[in-house]
Order: sequence, then structure tokens, then C-alpha cells
Amino acid sequence: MISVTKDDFDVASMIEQAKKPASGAIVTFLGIVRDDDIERIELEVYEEAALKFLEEIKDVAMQDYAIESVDIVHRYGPLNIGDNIVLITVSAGHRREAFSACEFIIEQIKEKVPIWKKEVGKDFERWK
Amino acid sequence: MQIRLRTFAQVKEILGADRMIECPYGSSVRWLLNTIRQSSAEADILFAENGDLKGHLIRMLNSIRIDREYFDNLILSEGDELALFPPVSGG
Repeated sequence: MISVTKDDFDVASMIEQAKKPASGAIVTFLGIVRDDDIERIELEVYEEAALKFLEEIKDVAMQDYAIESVDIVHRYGPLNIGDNIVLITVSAGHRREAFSACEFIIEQIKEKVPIWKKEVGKDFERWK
Repeated sequence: MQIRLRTFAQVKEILGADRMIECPYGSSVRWLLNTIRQSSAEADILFAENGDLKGHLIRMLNSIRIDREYFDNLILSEGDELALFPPVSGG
């Protein structure tokens, strides 16, 4: 599953769904909102392009790593400290491939997917 | 013909929200960018002295990234969507 959504997601459910018959390892990356002396963040997304890039990143990961599945959900809209931002689950036969693919995917997301983060504090707003 | 301009993040704050722009048939991406530049005094900050968009800005036509060397030769079609935005920061 690839999605961008305003809604929160169920981490346990996504991990359960990542279990495949050939799975021996599931690696997850969960990005959450850090308290950098801010009140919240606001994430803006170019949804059509973001979905296209996420699908492409998944396709490359599935091709280049010995893995069974990739699922990515990325939120947008206003998010508070501690809220979930992004969840990646990678299922593979073995842990090394799962770790490597998951790291590749989050780095690709940070580099390519059109999502922007604005930090909002008591008396400031700044794009990151 | 109508071309949809999509703007995001800081570019949206400068150019305003998404809007339709009327273009003559046969217009290039360069023509559209010049039109955008002339649309407001604030828009000029996005452009370099030679008229190109500043280097850090990203351009997508129908969700496909386009490099500046194609601005002159890429001809727009009815319903095209040009997106302008700064470097991304998701994840």
C-alpha cells in the first residue's frame, strides 16, 4: 500500500499486513514530530506527484533488494509533537535486505517526494 | 487554452494559490514562465536576472520534472499542469 493521508495510521496493523509467507524479517521506519521548540508542524503535499514518486521508489526497492513487500504511508496537514508522520514497512526473507531497503526508501523520500514541512511556534513560522 | 499552475510551500506564498492561466496555442514553457514573472511584483523574486527560474526551484509539467534546457522547446497543451516548488522536506 502506498498512500498520503491526513489521517493517522495503525502501526501494528501495517506490520501485521507486511507478514508474507516468505518473510523472516520486517523492518519499519516510523517518523514522528520532534519537539524542536515548536508547537506543531504543517505538512503540505503535491499529492498526485507524491504518490507517483512513492510508487517509483517502491518499484526500485523491490527491484534492487531481495525483499517481499514495501508499504509506505505519509501524512500531511497539521501535526503535533509526537504525532506520526511517515511509516515504512519492509518485509524480507532476511534482516539485512530489509534494513538496507528501508534506509534506501526513507532517504529517497527525503530527497524526491514533494512534501514540505513548516514549523510553527508561538510567534514564528518557518519552512524547513 | 487553459494551463493549470500549481504552487507549493514558499512559492505559494509568493505567487498565490493554484490558478488557471490562459495561454495562446503553441505557447512554450518559457512563455508561461515569463507570464508568471510579469503577473505580480512579488513574482520577480523567483527569477534570476536572465529570466530563468532561480536554480533551487523545481519545475514539473504533469508531475514530470523538467530541466531548464527544455523551457523553449516544450510546447504546452490544453489541460497541462505546471507545478513550481522549492526543494522538498518530507519524511
